[in-house]
Amino acid sequence: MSSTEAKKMVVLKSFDGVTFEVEESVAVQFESIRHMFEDNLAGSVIPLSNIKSEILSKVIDYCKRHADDTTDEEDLKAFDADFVKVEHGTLFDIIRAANYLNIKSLLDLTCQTVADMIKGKTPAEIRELFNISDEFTPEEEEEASIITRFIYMDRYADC
Amino acid sequence: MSLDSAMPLPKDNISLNAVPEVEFSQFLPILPQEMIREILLRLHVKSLLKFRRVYKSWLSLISSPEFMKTHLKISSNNTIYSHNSLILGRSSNSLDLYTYLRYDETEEIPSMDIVPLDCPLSEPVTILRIVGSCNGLLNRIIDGPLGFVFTGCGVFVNGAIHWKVLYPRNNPRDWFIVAHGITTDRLELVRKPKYETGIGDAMLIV
Repeated sequence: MSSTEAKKMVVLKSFDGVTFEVEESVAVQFESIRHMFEDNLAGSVIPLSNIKSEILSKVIDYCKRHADDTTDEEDLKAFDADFVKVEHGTLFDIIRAANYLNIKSLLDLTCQTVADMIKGKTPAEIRELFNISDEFTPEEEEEASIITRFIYMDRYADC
Repeated sequence: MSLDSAMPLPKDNISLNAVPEVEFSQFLPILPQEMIREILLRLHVKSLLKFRRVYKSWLSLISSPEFMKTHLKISSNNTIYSHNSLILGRSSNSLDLYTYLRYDETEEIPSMDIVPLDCPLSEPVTILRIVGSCNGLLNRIIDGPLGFVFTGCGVFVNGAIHWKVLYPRNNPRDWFIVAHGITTDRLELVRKPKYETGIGDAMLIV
């Protein structure tokens, strides 16, 4: 049965002050802020202080598409594949947003994309990509290998 | 004490070393460890083994039992490729064990992807018989010199130990496998996988 009632809307405000009005049926996918609009605070603006408007708009697009029951699975797959064809920085931002908003399917999609992206890379390339300074010193590398060997020693027991 | 110095610094993913700020900002946003974990959980074992050497935090993450449990759970539900479904064993003077990642046919990557495994036993053996694999757990029986049968110990391909083959001394053929049940944290009997054996190279589909 189609409802003639006006659709409930939720207003979200990005870090840089841009507001987005989205249907509640779309916003329910934002698990972590769900309670805020389910309490029926009509008209109130939900601030998302750590998501840029550019990223929030993408995330909303994604959720709109995924809330739409009429989209067939093939189209959704194609949409997903296209959705992640963005610069690495943007992709990482989307991951952070998906994590913050707790949108599981988006987190799955984006993390799997990064996983596929990095799986063939060498450790050095990974360090460059992730930009973390947490490398092994030669001594630590040796220690790590000793620990690994120690773990393996256990396999001798009772054999 | 200033406010700044009282703020807890995120661990593991922020460099405390002097790396020029400019280069940083032009680069990627730094992902919190929690999200790095999400990404690593979706990698197959070959990459995980390789990536243990990337960062200290990655080594401890990848080696942690919690991570392995979750990884096994995720990878056994993975429909794109099944990890380590095929095990290749090589008969030689060294113990060469390989896992064979069987990709889904729709994957574009070449389907042959052989990964050498860490092996705990370094002494030469004459025949290596791969008995089977089950859910990423690998087991084998080694026929040693003078007819003694050694039981193999399991390699959970992330590098932890999960299973052992046991058999009554009077009837070595009547073997069974016990494994560390990752959900129950107890030793449990493992259903014997389907297996074939051959002289020399063995290849099994489980």
